[in-house]
Amino acid sequence: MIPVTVLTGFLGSGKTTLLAHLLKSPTLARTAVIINEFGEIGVDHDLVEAGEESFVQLETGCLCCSIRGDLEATMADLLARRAAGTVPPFERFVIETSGLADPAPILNAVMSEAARGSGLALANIVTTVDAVTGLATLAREPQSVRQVAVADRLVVTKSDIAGLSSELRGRVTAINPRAEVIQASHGDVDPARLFAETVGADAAARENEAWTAIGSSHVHAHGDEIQCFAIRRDRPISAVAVTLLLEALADHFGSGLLRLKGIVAIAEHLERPAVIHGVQHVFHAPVWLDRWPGDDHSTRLVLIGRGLSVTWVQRLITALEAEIAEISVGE
Amino acid sequence: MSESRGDALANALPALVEESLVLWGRSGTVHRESTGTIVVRTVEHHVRIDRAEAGVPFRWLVVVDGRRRVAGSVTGLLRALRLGIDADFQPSRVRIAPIDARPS
Repeated sequence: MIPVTVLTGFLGSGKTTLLAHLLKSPTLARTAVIINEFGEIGVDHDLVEAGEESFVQLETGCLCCSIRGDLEATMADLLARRAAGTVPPFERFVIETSGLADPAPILNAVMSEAARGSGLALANIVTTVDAVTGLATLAREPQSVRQVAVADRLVVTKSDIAGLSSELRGRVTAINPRAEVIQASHGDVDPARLFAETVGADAAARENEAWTAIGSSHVHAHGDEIQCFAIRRDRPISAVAVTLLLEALADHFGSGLLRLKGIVAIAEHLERPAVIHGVQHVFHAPVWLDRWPGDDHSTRLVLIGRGLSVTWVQRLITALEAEIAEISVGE
Repeated sequence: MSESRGDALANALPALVEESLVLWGRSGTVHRESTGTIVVRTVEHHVRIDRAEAGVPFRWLVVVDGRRRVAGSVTGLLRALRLGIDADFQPSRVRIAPIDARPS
């Protein structure tokens, strides 16, 4: 699997500085970088010097609006060129979005490519937040809230100018209580912390422990209507019910579902939980863990998005379980 | 006495349909008749949801204003219901591949 990291963050929040610094690290050797800039003439790519065996590809236009298809085509093209040996044999992708981008369609594009069996896997989402202007930006720009909401790791930049204030920490934690918050000065961050592998069973287990650590049915509502809630089910769920659940979520939440992650106790294989991961209406094939990562063997799902309803999801699961149980008896 | 499997679904479904109306921004009422039929009334629509007869390749019959739709699962039932009462609804064109019950 080739892990894909999406680097997002609002305009001027330090994405390119961070990326330029990271690409100098041997940890990020063999990285294919796709930089998206808004406007016809890009400059960000000139600010990023790729290290040995890494390279930068520029896309212009806003990834989330007009060229989502182009992003998928670019990834597919780079994979083909990698296979043909006409580009360095990169081992990871980093996609830097434009500061104005809604991350959800971009994540959707990555997951669509992954679903086509391209060998890609969405590894993690890193969002930069400006220590100086972040609070005001979050108050003013709904897009910046979405960028924070979907992050696995939040990098607070420019902490040499202003430290991470309690107000900003409180705000980002309220939007996204699961993400690790890391402070950076001049883009100086340990790459291993940002790009720790999140692909594969062990990594999936680690990530899900962090994601699902928040309590059952815990709801965070924000002025911008982005919600985050967790659902816990102690009883295992049949594989068919999980499939039907994901299908219903795709139907009725659709683009409102920014992210879904979860660890599921599948009734047919109690000893091996399945990790599920989705963005909008696209869901990864589940990753089966070899064993439960801890003593908690319950199903835990975390959903982030707009227009969601925890009550509806709970009732849906209850009805699906009842239907599958009824069918099982009839067989 | 414990709830039978049939009762569990009969009880869960009206609650789900009721909450679905809220989720979809539709005001209306949901009522389960003694025959088991679920009746949904919104300002514009009248819906009857019944279990399909035995031996047919679907499980649910959803009749919206006299127009008949069928569904193979609760998920399909919700899709049929919303298609009938929400003109703006566009179900996902992507079908989720069944989760393989055997871990890879």
